[in-house]
Amino acid sequence: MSELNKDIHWVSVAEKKLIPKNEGRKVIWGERQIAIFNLGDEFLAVDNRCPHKQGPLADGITAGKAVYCPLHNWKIDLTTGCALAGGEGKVKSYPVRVEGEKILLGFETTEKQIPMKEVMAILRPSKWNETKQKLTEAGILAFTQRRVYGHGKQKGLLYWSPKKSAGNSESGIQFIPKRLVIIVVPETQVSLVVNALVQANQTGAIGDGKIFVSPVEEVIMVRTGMNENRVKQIEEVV
Amino acid sequence: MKMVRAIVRPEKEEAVAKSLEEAGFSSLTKFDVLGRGKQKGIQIANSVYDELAKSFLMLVVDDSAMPRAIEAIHAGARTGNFGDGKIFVTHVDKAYTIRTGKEGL
Repeated sequence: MSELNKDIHWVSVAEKKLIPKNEGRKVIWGERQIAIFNLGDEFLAVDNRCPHKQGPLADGITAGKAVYCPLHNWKIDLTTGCALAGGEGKVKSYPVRVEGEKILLGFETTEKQIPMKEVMAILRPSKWNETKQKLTEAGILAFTQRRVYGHGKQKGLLYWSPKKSAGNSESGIQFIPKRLVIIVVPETQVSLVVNALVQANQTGAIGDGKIFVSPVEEVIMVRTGMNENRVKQIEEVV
Repeated sequence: MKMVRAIVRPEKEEAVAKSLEEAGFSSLTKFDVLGRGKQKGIQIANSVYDELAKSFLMLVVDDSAMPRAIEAIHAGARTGNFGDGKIFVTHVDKAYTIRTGKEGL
């Protein structure tokens, strides 16, 4: 996995009129709880948990550019997130931008490139419905499948014929109908796919099939023409 | 491991299967496809056949056996004319046998 670039991603989280002057309000964004304060001429934002005992800072009383935690009266600087009085500690602070009536918070984003893999499997046609179900359960929704004919090491099915000697590969079904499935997933999901395929198709008898995993250089979405194997992750906060 | 994919004349499919088997490659998967190559199909008088019927063969072999597999396909599929087909070789990281759930060809 390699990081491609970092930039700040602005998210509109609240409206100005919802936060009274010299007070704080809590907003929930993803898994974060963030306290935004209206200081009259500017807005400041920090994580809504005091470094001491996770007190809800949004309910605290502001004093200049700081807030007192409602639990144990720690004083937290709202621009840096550092504790000024009560003890030592730091909460995350967020850059804030005001656009019209909206308050935007800046999150640092990182783009990560996860290598893509192609899982190609040859399966029993009779197990296809079960396979689809298992894949769906595993969260793998996209696949391409088609009917193929083939044989493995056993060279197909041989049957006994009174005219020809048994074991003669001429008498038998050389190409057996099979289902070919192609699934392209990020490297991290390969084991998920392989497990689902094995679970659905394993009967223990010869002819259960094979799974091949190969690297994929590029994945491009036709609709947008964009490279698809870049997962944008909002990660650390500035 | 390498995946060898060959697009060959449908009438040569059995000859390729046979020559592969003689060379020790018993596993093979095939399906019918339509397509064209550099010649953009075929033109006979005024009729243009844009897409021609071909047979698509696929097998996965060990790295060291790959040249022999290509040679075998070549021996079975070659006529010397346009339309004999193409062979593509790609890398395969892992292979699993579903019956046992184990890794390996």
